[in-house]
Amino acid sequence: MTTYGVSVDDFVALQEVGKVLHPVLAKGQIVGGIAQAIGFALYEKVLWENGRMLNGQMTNYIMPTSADLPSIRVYFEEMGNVHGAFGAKGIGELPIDGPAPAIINAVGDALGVSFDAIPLLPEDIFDALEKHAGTACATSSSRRGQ
Amino acid sequence: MRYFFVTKGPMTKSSGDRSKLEIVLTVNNKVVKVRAHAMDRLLDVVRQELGLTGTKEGCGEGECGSCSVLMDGVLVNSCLIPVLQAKGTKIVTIEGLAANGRVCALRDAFLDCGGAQCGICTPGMILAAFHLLKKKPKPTAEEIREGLSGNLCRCTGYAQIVEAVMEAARRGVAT
Amino acid sequence: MRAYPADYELIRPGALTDVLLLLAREPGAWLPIAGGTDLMVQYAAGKLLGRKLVSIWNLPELRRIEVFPDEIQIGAACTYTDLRESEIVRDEFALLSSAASWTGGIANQNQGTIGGNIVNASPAADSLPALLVYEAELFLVSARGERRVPYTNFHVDYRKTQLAADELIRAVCLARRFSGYYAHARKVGPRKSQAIAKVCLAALGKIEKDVATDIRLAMGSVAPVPVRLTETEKALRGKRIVPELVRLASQTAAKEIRPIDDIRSTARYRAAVAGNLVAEFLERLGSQI
Repeated sequence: MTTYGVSVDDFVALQEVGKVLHPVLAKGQIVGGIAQAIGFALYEKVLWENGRMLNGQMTNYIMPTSADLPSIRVYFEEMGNVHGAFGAKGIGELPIDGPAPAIINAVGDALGVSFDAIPLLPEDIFDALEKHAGTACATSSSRRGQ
Repeated sequence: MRYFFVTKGPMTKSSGDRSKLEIVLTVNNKVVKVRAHAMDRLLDVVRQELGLTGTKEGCGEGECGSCSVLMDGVLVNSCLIPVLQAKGTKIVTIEGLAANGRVCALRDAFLDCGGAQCGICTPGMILAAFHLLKKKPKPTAEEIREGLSGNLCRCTGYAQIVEAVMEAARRGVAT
Repeated sequence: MRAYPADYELIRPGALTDVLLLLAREPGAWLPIAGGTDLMVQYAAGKLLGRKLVSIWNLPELRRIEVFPDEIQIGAACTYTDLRESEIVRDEFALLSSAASWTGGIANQNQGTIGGNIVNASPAADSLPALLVYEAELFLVSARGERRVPYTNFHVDYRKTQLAADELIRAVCLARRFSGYYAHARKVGPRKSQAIAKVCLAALGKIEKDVATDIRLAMGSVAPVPVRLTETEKALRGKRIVPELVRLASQTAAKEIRPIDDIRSTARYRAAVAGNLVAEFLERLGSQI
């Protein structure tokens, strides 16, 4: 464990959306939301001082670049919806909900340490491992981080 | 009720016009003469003096890439260039790049693959992709991600942008 | 944009001699600007001290790489892209090549310059640890003449250098004696691109059998200036690279640096990662035999 950093190497999303009306746009919405959620989970810390945001610039508010995100794989289930056009449901808000818990749970599973706050920064992982010194690093997993 | 619309030039505290210079540069293949302060940002001159609003301001600090233009064929962030340093150079904005069916392979690939959602990053992305494909006509996905890493996008998560550039590379970029 | 362009003056004399004469006439009054990747950010934030700038962007005397039998001289206005595209920099000074490749995105690399990186003097600058381990020298020019100084002491404090008020860096001089070294660099930042380093390491090693005959380590973001880890180097030189030594070196490095808590990271994290980076380098060096 060198940098205690986590990067998402692969992400699979299965979304039940009622009916896919436009596959390209639908996929775009899901991938976009997941990208935001990965940022939410691992990168986008808001720093406050006396009620002001300290890091409100693109230089120091860290959102993922194209180099940080994997190819995100999206699959749809279509189970219809009596209220929506052609059976579609709204999907815009949906994709940002699940990824952060999934990622934090994965990191927890890999390290044998439980985390309950986001964003989970390398500094937080380092601090947690220091607390559990000796036992945490024994867990080996392919998703352990770098 | 009367409405006043101020559209020209950044706000100036002092008299302003006195310290403006005449600066000659080529923009999208046309020689233009602008009256601007030496320290007016190329971004502002392009948008406000020349009315070319395809180039966007996303951050004003060279981080997001939405202000990308080509200066003598090289990709640069126009928010970081005082217009005096662009004097005598050849600037290409997205309007110039897309003229006459150039980059139609990129444009069509972006449309087909969903590479644009809100569209703010798109001009910069197309310019960065064009710049990359000129140097590497058949890039890998990783090379595309690296080449576009200076262009931030909040909507797409980059996946369909990378697909679009791959697809454009496959189809062959019109130059 | 928090600056009024009309309040600023920018001139472009176009020749190095004219710029130097200007700086000599009014030392400290004119701020040289090259690629603008640091200064224009300050300007847009309304934080640029001084209202007069003189452009040194693209001056031919400053933007060339000269190759001599025993050294190369990299013009101060060479961009990171110029460094990346230079065969000799790639082949003989790989640490500088890597640093250039992770300084911002492509557009920033096309504009930012090595001279700007040095003079801006941020402790987090990507190229500076490489200059330390290569023991670079700086060719400084002014209307008074030229002088050559080792880079080692040039960066005196946080954002302060030994550059005189009427001086410019003309070139960075690198001795061509590092081809036989194993070169390793790593930058740890908050993301994989467009990031300011939390810790970065530039390292060179020479190993015979399993003995380290020479070790050079420099780090950024762990002190007010980029630092050579002289204590850690001393502990390693002439010794066999074995796990106990790697552990000792790791601990020495973590203790030798002076990291702080700041907007990007914490002192404890930086110290731990610094030690880990040194260990990683030594393990890779050891596997070269």
